[in-house]
This record gives sequence, structure tokens and C-alpha cells, in this order.
Amino acid sequence: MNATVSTTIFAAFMVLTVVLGLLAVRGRRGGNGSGAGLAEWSVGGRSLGTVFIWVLMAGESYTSFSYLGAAGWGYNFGAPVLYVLAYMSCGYAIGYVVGPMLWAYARRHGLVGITDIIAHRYRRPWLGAAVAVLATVCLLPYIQLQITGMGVVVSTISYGTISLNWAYFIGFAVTTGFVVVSGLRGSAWVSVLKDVLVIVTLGFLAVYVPLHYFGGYGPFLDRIVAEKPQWLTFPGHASGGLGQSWFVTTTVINSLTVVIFPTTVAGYLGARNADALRRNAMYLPFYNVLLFVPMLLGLAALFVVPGLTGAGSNLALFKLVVDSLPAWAVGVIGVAAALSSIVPMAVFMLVIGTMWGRSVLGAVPRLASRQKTWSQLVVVVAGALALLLTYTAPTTLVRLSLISYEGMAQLVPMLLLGLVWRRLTMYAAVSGLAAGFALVCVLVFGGHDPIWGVNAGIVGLAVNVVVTLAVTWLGPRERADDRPDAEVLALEDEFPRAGTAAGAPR
Amino acid sequence: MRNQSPGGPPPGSRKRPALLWLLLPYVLFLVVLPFVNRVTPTVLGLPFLFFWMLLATLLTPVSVWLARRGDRRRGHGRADAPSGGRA
Repeated sequence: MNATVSTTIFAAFMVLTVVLGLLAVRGRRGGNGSGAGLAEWSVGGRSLGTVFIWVLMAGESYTSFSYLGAAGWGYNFGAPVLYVLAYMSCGYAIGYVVGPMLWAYARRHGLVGITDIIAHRYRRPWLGAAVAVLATVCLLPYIQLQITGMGVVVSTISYGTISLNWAYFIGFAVTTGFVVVSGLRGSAWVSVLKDVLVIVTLGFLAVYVPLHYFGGYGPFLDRIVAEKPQWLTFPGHASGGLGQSWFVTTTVINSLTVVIFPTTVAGYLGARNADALRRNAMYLPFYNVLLFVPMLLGLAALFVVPGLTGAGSNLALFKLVVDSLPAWAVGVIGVAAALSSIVPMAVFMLVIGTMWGRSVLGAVPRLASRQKTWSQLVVVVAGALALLLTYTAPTTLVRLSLISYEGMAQLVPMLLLGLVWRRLTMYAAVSGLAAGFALVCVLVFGGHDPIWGVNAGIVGLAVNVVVTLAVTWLGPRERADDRPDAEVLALEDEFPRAGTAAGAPR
Repeated sequence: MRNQSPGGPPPGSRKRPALLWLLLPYVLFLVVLPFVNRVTPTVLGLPFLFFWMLLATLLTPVSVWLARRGDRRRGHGRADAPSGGRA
């Protein structure tokens, strides 16, 4: 009975999701050519206003991790989970500068993603293609994380009726079902549904769980302070080295990475104007307040369902939900969590498709005329690949996901420094990237993250920057590139610079 | 689009000191961490570290607002050209 109710609600909302996603492009005609059609699909025709950008960017950055991992970290470690809050807040703040800068650059030159931006900046299509391959390796694990996250949620809220394997497939099918057709615009529309459900359900749980289990906030918080103080300060409970220096370095590097993360940039480029992005840098941090809910519920679960370990602790929040609420409410909360997998998954797949359609396959002259078609095809291939690996070799991508964020961070100098500093050569950017990425791989796969109490990614980034600067100053000069600075750099909108760029004729 | 001629500095690219406000979240979340990494005193029942993180989260929009106010005073944050042009 319970299972029927919650499964029916879930099924109805999944149908609604696909319909909503497809309705998003009704009445809009993207051409089939290479330019306009791809931009319409990949970055919503650069036409989203402040509200849609807010909804989309909030929608894509609060993934299934917010429901599962945040509660699980809260349950296992306590305070270290606060890093999510810190890096997202700091990232939104510097997004005030970086967002409009990338937006203006991409719009001026008709670019649709970071690989496209890099290919244009260094005037080397092959570099864009190479970065696309690297970024795909970093992004693919995230698709799998969303698929598996959705799987455990759906199987839990259906009281076991829907098996894990079927739940994985539903996640893939629903996402592919709308994103292939409607691209970024469809993701933004589905985000509206997602954000409404997430805000309502988390707001409800924030009130309900303390009342139901502890008789109110006062007793709940008193009990945590009295019985679990270890969880309430750094380094947290049995966290294995996640102390203050880890928190600081992780926040710094993640806040720099999140602003150039390909999915974030897709959101930036979808904006109608730069001011929509500046306003969002102001409004988006409010969404972070919601992250406190799963963190606190993770702590609450310590008292209600003690003894969860490993992957089980990720279900800390859902154990409370299933234990204390009627089936229809379980179904609705499950839908909110499932959409928290679907929306980010859609944007991840979209971004991979765009990178390949534009920078890899689009760089081949014979294929360049059908970039949108290639992009859509790659979306299906990437999603199917992630799904297939989830079934056959689940640990492969999990292992890769360890380097996803710290690896992506190594693109920061090539992209951001490159856009404001003309002298930075392609040789320097590539050397820095290679050195940083290799070091991160060695440290992470060697089991040295954190190393000396700091995030391994920031060690890689430091080496990356040093190599980049050294090769720029000492290495080979760039071949004659006679384009004016305004063509190469993100001069205008808007980066704080002391003086003007070198080489600009006065 | 605005003037893109290569000669001369582009409009409004001189110093924007108000952007320093964007570093405020880093100060609130990171620089003061050693002083706020404590359970007591509890504020509104919240352990101090969690209360502080909530405060920092709520002050982040304020710091962006201050940066934006500086830009607007210099006539910088106007709505840009509406869509159209190259896409």
C-alpha cells in the first residue's frame, strides 16, 4: 500500500518532468546550422533572465549530494561538511566578477563553453579538443554519482518496489528524454519544479524532524551540544585529517574551481545580460541556507538511527523520512531528491555534448556543419556510457571521481589567467596544466589527499601556477599572433587590473 | 556592443576598489576560523561554529551587494545590451 502510493507519486512527477522539459522549447526554432542552433540548445540562446538563471544555477549546483552526502558527512564527521557551504558562498561572491567576464567574452566571439573559450584565446582548435577530453574524464564520474544517488533514493522511497537497476535506468531515461531535445532551456524549466519541491520539502523537514523526534529545536540542539561535541568543531569526529587547514585550502580551491566548472559556465553563458549574473551573485548565496537542513538532519540521525556505516550513512536523512512520515510525503520528498539528481545530470550531459560537438567533432572540417546534431548524439552516448559503467564496473568511475574537482581546478590558470594576461603563452598554459594534473593524480591515487593537512588539489594548483609563470617568462615565445588584445583577452567586462594589459598601443 | 577599438583603455576598466568587498566571505569563513572553531557559547541554541557559519552565509549576499553598489555608483553595473547580435 505504502509502496503503491509513493511509487505512483514518483511516476507521475517523472512524466511531468519530461513534459515540462519538452514544453520549454515549444515555439522556439533553432536552426540546423552550426552556429545559432547549437547556441540555442547549449546556452539557451543566451536569453535567460535573472530569475531563470537563479533557478537554473541553484538547481544544478545542489545535486543529490545535498540530500545524501551532506547528511552522510554530517552523520559521520560533523563540522567538516561545512566546507560545502563555505566554498559555494565564496564561489558565488567571486562569480560576481568571473561570470560577467566569461559571459561577455563568449557572447562577443560567439562561444558556447570553456573549451571553445580556450580554443579561441590560444587560437588552437586542438587545445580546445584536448581540454574537452580531459574535462569529460572529470565530468563522467559525476553523471554516475547522480545515477547511483538517484538509484538509492528511488529504491528507498518506493519501499524497495523499484530495484536499484531499474532506478538507475529511470534516471538516465528521464534525463535524456528532455535534455537531448530542449538543452539548457529545458533544464532551466525542470529546475523550477525542482527548486520549488526542494525548498518546500527541506523547509518542512527542518521544522518537522526536531519536533517529531526531540520535541523541538531547543532540546534537539541541547542534546547535540551535550552528547556529540566532537562533531561540532574541526577536525570533526574521526574524520581522518579534515582539520582547519584542510577546510581553508579546500574552500579556496573549490571556490576558484566552481566559477569555471563547465556546468557553472553553461549557466553563465545562458544569461541574457551581464547584470543578471551580477544580481545572481547576490541572490544565489541565500539558497545555501538550505544546506544547513541536511547537515543538521544528519546530526539528528545520530540519535535516531545510530550505527550506520559506509554507504549506509548517506541514507541518514531518508531513514528519518521513511521512519516518520506517511507514504505520500515520502513520495514527494523522494521526487525532490530525484530531481536533484536529474537536473545536474542533464546539465553535465549537455556540457559534455557541447564540448564534443563544438570542440572535438566540430574541429574536424568535414563534420563541422552539424555541431548541434553531434552534441545531441554525444549526450546520449555519454549518458549511456555512465549507465553502462554503473552496471558493469561501478568502482571505476568512483575512483575517477576522486580527482574530478581537483583535476578540473588545474584549468584555472589556463582559463582565467589567460583571459587577462596576454603574455601567457600556450606552451606555459599547457605545461602548467600537465604538471598540476599529473601531481594531483599521483597524490590522490597514492592515497595522499589530504597531504600535510591540506587539500592535494591546491598543492597541484601551486605547482601549476609556478610552472605556468616560469615557462611564460623563460620558455618559447608565442608565434606571431597579430590579433589585438580586445580580440584575445576579456578586457572589458570586467576584471580588476592594475593598469592596462601589456602591449596595448596607446 | 560597446566600443571595442584596440586603442586606449576600454571604458571602465580602471580600478574598482569596491570589488575588495568580495573578499569578505573569505575573511568570514576562513581567516577568522581559529577564533570561531568552538562549541560554546551557543547562540540561539546553535553551537558557536555553526552559528558563525550561518552568519557568514547570510553576510555573503551583503558583501556582493556592497561590491555592486560601488560599481553602480561608477555607472558600471548598468544592464548590458539586450540579447540579439551574435549568438
